[in-house]
Amino acid sequence: MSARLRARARRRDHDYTLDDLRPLLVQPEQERLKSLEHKLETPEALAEAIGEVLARAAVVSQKRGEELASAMQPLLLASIHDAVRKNPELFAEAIFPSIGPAVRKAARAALEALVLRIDDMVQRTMTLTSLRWRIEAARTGLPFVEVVMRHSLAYRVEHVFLVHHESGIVLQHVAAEDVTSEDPDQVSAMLAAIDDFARDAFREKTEAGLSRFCVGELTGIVEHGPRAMLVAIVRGVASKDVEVSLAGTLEEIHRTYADALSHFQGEVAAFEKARDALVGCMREERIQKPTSRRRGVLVLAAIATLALVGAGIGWKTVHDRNRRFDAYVDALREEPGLLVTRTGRQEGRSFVEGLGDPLAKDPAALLARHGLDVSEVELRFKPIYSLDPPLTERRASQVLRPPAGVSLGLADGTLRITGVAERAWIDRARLLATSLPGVTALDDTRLFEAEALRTAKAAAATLEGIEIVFPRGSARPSQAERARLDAAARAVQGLLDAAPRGGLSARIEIVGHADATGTPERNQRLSEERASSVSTALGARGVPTEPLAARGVGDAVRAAPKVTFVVRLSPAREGS
Amino acid sequence: MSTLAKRKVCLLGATGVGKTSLVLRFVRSIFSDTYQTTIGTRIETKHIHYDDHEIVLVLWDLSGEDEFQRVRLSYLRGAAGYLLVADGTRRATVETALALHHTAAALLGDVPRVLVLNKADLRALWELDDASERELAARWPVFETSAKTGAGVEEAFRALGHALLPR
Repeated sequence: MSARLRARARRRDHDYTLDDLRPLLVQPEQERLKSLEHKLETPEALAEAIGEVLARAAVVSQKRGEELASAMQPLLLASIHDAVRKNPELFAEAIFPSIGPAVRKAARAALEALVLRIDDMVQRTMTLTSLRWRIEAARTGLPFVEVVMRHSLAYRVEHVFLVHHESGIVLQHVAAEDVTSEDPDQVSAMLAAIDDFARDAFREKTEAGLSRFCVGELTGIVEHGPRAMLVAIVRGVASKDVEVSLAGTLEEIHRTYADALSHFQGEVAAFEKARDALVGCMREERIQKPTSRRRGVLVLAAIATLALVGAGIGWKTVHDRNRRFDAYVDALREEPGLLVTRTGRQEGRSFVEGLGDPLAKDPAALLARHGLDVSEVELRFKPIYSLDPPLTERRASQVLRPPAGVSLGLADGTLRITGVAERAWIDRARLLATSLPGVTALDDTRLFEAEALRTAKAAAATLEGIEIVFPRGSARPSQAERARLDAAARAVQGLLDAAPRGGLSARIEIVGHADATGTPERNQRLSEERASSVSTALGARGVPTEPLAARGVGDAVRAAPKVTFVVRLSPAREGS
Repeated sequence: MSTLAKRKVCLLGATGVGKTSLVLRFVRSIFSDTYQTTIGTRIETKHIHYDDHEIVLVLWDLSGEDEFQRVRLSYLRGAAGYLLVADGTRRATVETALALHHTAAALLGDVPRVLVLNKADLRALWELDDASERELAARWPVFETSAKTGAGVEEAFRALGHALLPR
């Protein structure tokens, strides 16, 4: 028998095996092993066990490095990808409230870059308005494009509608105080219809719908969310702030009213408190400079005022010059013998064209009177004969050269010459007058001969020097006085002939005298008889007696038996 | 406590059955007829009071269905109920209404609806016989209306509104 067989035989003898002893020796370890086995082989138990330590394991793993993250990444990505593919709406809805801020942050960064590019581009353009804005940009230190944008920002949000996406029903609506609003339900439903219509008509399948529409000064800005949309009706040019506020508000509403929106059946009372959020979107911005820029405004105002004053002075200078020129031209038009045919400005100088009689006033001489200088106005006049009466008169004067004491006048084509002139001049004037342009007739009824005047005066002196002597107590002149009577008759005749031609009227008095002897009555009668006797004697010699007046003065003037003559010459009355 | 509820309701029917005439006497519209021909719908609102409740029916008066144009199905979305309109004098319009009902039901599910047989004032000229009408009435609430006289219209809208009241 071998040793092994002997040993087996001994075990049987004692009836104890190692298995019998094992519980006594290692039972606690065995139970722990069983428990571990259970945990490892039963999925639920294993999951529970791992679940207990998974979070801690992740933390520990993270501390060690990215091993776990790297291991988990493909799994997570596949899982997310699968979820998105199967239910995109759910995913979009889940991330909607948080995606807005992220997008806005990115958009803001992109916009700032865009602003710089636009700024650079706009800097290259130059208009009057841009110049003004450029000055403002330089003054305020803002980018030019921001100044441009700021000037364009003036708007007011007049309505905000919160609209249930699917039904188009208004969940909440606010309007500016002074704005009349039509039935908001109808407006929002129609907007929803138009949104649907646009998408259907152009087969646009994306979630994005109608985002902006314009009618006159009004712009509708639509912000879409998964369950609701916000519509702002803006008067003027809305800034990006409006869209940003709409987006933020809509996200907030989706967060706050998530349940009410997803189960909406038409009960709008649930959205009563959303009104406050909508009021936050009622923004407005006016084109008004902040008060802190008052100084800048004043500077601009001062520049503008200076520019205005400068422009005003310039305008006034030009205006005054034009006014003076107009007055000058008016004066030229009034001036006899000048005819203005055209006026204007050429190469920086005013000009006057026309026709001018050489006898008219010199147009250049009138410049100074109107504050103008020869250098300012070019005069282009061609010579003519003018038939203007003053010119005709001037021409008559120039041709006839009237002597002193003669004056010329023209009325209705008739040249009237008045005064006293030598016979030779009168003859020449009569010859030339009617041949002058503009003179159709001559009126010389008041033109008198100087020679006749002298003759009349000489005759008057001669006559007054003659005394007819009478015998004492007689009214008949003696024979010896005949020669004197003849001389007196010649003198009277000569006087009466010459006086009218000399422009005189003559009154001749025959004065009878008596000596002191005898009574005054007798002397008076005698003197009268003597004067009458001379008058008769003159009449007998062919002298017209009408201009003669005979009177007796007795012995009061000269106590002598005589007759004397007194001649009174006076200018002939017109029409005589 | 009074409540206010708003419901989107579509008016469906063949061309010329008098949908627009039917509602015009009872609703207020701020839009002109041209919207219906251009974008395919007109919007009206009708307020109905029931004791403590007020319901606003936002009526989408969709352009009529015929061989030249189809109802824009997207306009049905979100409707809480619909009103089918047919012309009693033209049997074919009842068929069109039934077809539209099937379309709407497929999209909206089993929502409240009423059938309106218009032109009750021309009852003598109806092509639809009593037996057919009874058959229809077994399936839906049926109202005989006259847009011309106004008869039955208010009742039809009140009935639909009542079915749409919050439960």
